[in-house]
This record gives sequence, structure tokens and C-alpha cells, in this order.
Amino acid sequence: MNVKLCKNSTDLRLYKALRWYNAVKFMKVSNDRYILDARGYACPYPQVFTLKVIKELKENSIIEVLVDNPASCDNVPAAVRKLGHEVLEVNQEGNYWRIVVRKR
Amino acid sequence: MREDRISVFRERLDKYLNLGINLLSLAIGCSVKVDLYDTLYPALSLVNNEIAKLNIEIQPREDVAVLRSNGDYSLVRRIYDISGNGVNKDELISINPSVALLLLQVHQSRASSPKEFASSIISLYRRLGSSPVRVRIGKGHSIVSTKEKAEFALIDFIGTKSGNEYLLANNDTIQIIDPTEDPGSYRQVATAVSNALNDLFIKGVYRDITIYPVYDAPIEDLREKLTRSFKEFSSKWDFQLNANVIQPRVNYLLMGATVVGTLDKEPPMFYDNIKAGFKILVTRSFGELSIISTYLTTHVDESIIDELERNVMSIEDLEKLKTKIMDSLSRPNIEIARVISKYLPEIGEAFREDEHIAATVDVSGPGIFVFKELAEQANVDVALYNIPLISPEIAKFAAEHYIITDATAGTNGAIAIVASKDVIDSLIRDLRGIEDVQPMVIGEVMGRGSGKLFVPDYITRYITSKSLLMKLTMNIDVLRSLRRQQVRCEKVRVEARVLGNVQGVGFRPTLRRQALSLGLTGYVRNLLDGSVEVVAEGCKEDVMAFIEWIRSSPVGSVQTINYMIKQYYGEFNEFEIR
Repeated sequence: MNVKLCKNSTDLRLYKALRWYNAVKFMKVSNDRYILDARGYACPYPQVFTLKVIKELKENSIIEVLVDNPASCDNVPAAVRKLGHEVLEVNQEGNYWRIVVRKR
Repeated sequence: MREDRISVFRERLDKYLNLGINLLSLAIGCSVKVDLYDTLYPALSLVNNEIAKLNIEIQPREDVAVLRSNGDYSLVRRIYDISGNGVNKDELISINPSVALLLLQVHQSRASSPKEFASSIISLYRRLGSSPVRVRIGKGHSIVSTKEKAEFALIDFIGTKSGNEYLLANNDTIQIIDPTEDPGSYRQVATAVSNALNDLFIKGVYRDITIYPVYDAPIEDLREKLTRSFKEFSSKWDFQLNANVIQPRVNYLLMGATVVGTLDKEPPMFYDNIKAGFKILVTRSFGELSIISTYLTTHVDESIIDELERNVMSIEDLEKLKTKIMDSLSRPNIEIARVISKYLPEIGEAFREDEHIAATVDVSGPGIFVFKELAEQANVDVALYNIPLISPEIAKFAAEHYIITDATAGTNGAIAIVASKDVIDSLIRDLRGIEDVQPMVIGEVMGRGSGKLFVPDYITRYITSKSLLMKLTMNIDVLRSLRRQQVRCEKVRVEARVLGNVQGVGFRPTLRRQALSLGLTGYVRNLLDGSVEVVAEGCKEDVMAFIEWIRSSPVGSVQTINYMIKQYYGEFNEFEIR
């Protein structure tokens, strides 16, 4: 299993949400800041994963989504915006994009 | 029941993950091909000048290669790495191909920008274009993989002698059509090959068809399954199969074919004869991929099932619908090809509008976008008054949930036919009764024009991405950069200031995209006073078209544009946002 999320009590629901996507890396980097690494996944999974995870986060949490599928760099921001979350940044970093979202 | 289905799916995911393939990394819809508008065409414009110097010819966009032929041909397949290492000049001379069908599999990072893609393909083009034999690339088709080190260039060189009929050849592949079924199953392969055949069928080809399979798999067992499915498909539908061609072995999943067939009529490519009042008929509804993708997504995110069941239909009904779609996708549209061929002129005869089909198009991968491409190719304006979808409810659901970017897309889908009203009426009678065919008229040609497409407003239910919608209705001539290769032009430079509400509205990226599609170089930048500075270089005609386009920009609002035409410097290599 590559899921790098700790199985502690507060994050258990998150852990469950993603537990069987063996290769998705989901990390808590600090209090209320997370990284979802969806690189290597084709459309539509990056947005499906993002929406699934964001549902479980506390308001104002920050999640950084990494995608390398060109279509997803449009779709992930569009999908989270539609649900009222705030897209803070979309940066191309070499061969992938980092999409920074604040949960609303 | 539900638990069973999902656990079978998860087991399959695990099984393939252990073999090094993540089924969820395979594109079934929105991302399998290098995007024509965002990447491929702009990339070709970036390397236009260099391609013009090579002994190579890129055919204008026509999905299938069409050659005059005496019926005999040879097909030689070579596989290179994507920079074309191994292309051998002497061999090219001895093959002396009439046309080369090119299939590129590139890592998705190379498709991330036109510049990146251009630098990936130019080396292959250089190698193909530096022999004394002129290589005509009849069909270039680039697919993206999510796995690095799974790249290759497969080229089928086809040689034939000119004669009294036509030889048509096409190459198409998919990665997988339905990950909820076994990857080696008959229906996956049958759909992939039928999809490749569809481009021959639309031209009326149904005789002497040979299938040259293209496939790859991570393990021998699956490779054998695929081989068996190719055989089963060919014998079931009575096509010849030539399995003695080499296959790429990069241990990724891929299935499809190069298909070759002959036509003893004039192919329906009478774009210049299309007139106001001609009707557009489709052979059935479209949007197959929205159904397959939605079904698949319910396996990945169970919370979607509840929402689906509350708003659209039960998961059982969706499953039934999905199975029906898979059955229909795995049947080749050969009966339609027979009908089309009846309405084509004999060899050497001219097109007559009261008897013949003017043009046809395969409504598959790009969904409704094919009508935009058709309008541009034929230089006509087209109005669609109906967008028939297999399940409008699922299409809407899939678009709303970002399951698919264009819910009108399909694979081995409907065939669209453009002809005069009388021909269309007669076609409808002939097409009725063919399994899975429900002919209907969905639009008409408004007249000669610049390639505008008018669609009903409710299209926004099925395509939620604004940038995609803009491409559908915006008037960009995507073929211009390809056409210009053959034409010399007067080069100029323009320096412009654009005033109005032009900052903070996505003005610069939109301008850049338009500039690239026109093959212009230069830059655009915001000035402190709220205006935008544009400097562009290129063919005079394109530069002027660019200025006119800025005046009526689809984003922001332009008050004034002050510009000066100056001497061309050749200062830039690309069009950038500063």
C-alpha cells in the first residue's frame, strides 16, 4: 500500500475514503494542509479523488492536488470551484501541475 | 450484488497493478489523444518552418488515407523510438511508400504544451524527411500514456501503384473501452477494431478489408487473449486478418488496428459542393462514453451511486444500459458502408447533388466537435437543431460531475452524412432496418462560410468546460496552419495596444491560443495603465485576421485597438505571455 496517510483517529475517515486506491498518495503535511498526489492517473479520476477527499476535510483546510494529466489541470479547478471551494493557485511545475485549493 | 461487482473490480485493479498497469491510469474518454486544438495544431505551427524544409508532407486533416490504386498494395510496419532512432534512409528508398500511417504513443508530460510536443516530434520528422523519398504522412495519430518508458512510434508504410480504384487506410487504437470488463475480452477488442474500421465505412468501403492488428499488453497471457479476440472478430465478420506484423512491446495496454480496404467509387469528399440547404443525418444517437464513464465512476466512488439513484436511474438500470452500449459498440457499422457506397459516383464521374452523398464524418472521439471540424474543412456554416444523445440524463449527470469533459463523445459511434434533402430522404429508407440504426436529421448547412457551427443552447448541459465550449463556437481555422505549409506568404509584424476591459479576464491566454492557431509568434503583456500590448509576427493575412479577432474577442471587452504594421524581424520563436 502506498497510501501514506496515518491511521490515527482523526484521519480515519480520510483513510477509508482512499484506502483501496493503492497508488494514490495522500499526505498530511501540517495541521490543515494536505497533498493529494494524483499523478499517473487519467481523467476523470483526479477530479473524482479530489472531490471525495475534500468532502472529508475541515473548512479552511488547504489541499494541494498534483496532476500530470493535461485535461485534469482544467477539470480539477473547475470541479472544486463549482462546489464553492476556493482555487488559490494553479502552477505548472515542470511536467505536472500543482492545484492549491481552500475548502469552503 | 453491488458489493460483489465492486469487489470483482477491485480485485482486477489489484491484479493489473501487480503487473505494472494501473487500470485507472488508462484513458477511456477525455484524455487519450493529444488534444488537436490545444497541442497538436499549435505544435505543428511552431515547427512549420522546419517541416517546410524537409522532404515530408503532412496531409491536411482527413482521418483516413485515400490513394489511387490498382488494388495491389504492400504494408511494411516499423517501430522506432519517438525520436525516430533507427529510421534508415536506404530502407525508406527501398520501401518507397505511397503513404505512411503514424501512431505515436507519448508520455502525457510531452502533451502538456505545444512547445514540449513540438520538440518531441520534430526529431522523428527530421529523420523521416531527410531521405530522397518524399514521405507523405497520411494520418498522424498521437496517444498519451501515463507510464513513462512506454513511448514508441509505429509506422505502417503503405505502397501501391496508381490505378482505377481507391485504396483507403486508417489506423486507430484505444487503451481500454471498459475497465469494468476483462481487458482481453472480445468486446474490448471488437470495439477497438470497429472504431478503426469506422473511418473506412464512412467513405463507403466494405470490400477487401484487411485488419493489421496493433496491440500491447503487460503479460503474455493477456497478449494471447487479445490475439484470440482479434481472430474471433475477423472470422465472425469475415474480414481478413494479417497478424504477421510486429507489435510494440512496451508492456502497456493498447488495442486497435491499421485497416486497409478498397473502394470502386469516388469517395464522399465533395466538400466544395456542399451548399445551403443540405441536410445532416446521423445514423444513431451519440454519447456512449458518458454512460461507460459514469458506470465506471460508480465503482471508484460509491457515493456517486446514491446521487445517481436519487436523480437519474438505478445502478441496475445503468448497468443494463452500459451492457447494451458495449454490445452495440462491438458491432462494426459495415451495413452502413454498403448503403453509403450506393450513393457515391462511379470512378471518374462528377458529383451530382440529387444522387450523391457530399461528405461523411465519424461521430466518435470528439463527439459533437466533428461538426465543427466538418464545417471548417468544407468552409460552410452549419446549424445543428438537435443533439440526440443515447441518455441525455446520464450525459448531463456525467458532465455535472466532471466525469467526462464532453458528454457527447463516443467510440465506434454514429456516422454523420451530408447530402441534399432528396438524397437524405432516400438514405433514411435504406438505413432503416439495419440493427442499431435510427437515422435522423439533426441539422443543416446554412451556406458557404468560414466554418461556424451553431448549436442549441442546451449544449452547455453536456459540455461544462468553458474553454471547450468556446472552441466549439469560436471561429478558429484549425486547418490554416497546415494549409499554409505549401503557400509562401508576405511576412509582417504588428505592434498593438488594446484598450478596454482587458486585464484580469483571461485575455492573454485566450489571445495566445488564437495566435498559436494562426501560426503567429510574438508576445502579449499587461501594461500598468490597464491596457494590453500585443506584438505578433507572421503571414500578413493571419496577422490581420488576428487583429480582427482581437476586436471581437470572446473574453473581456475591447474598446479600441491601436496598431501599426511594421517590417517583419523574425524576432520570436513562440508566442508568449509576458
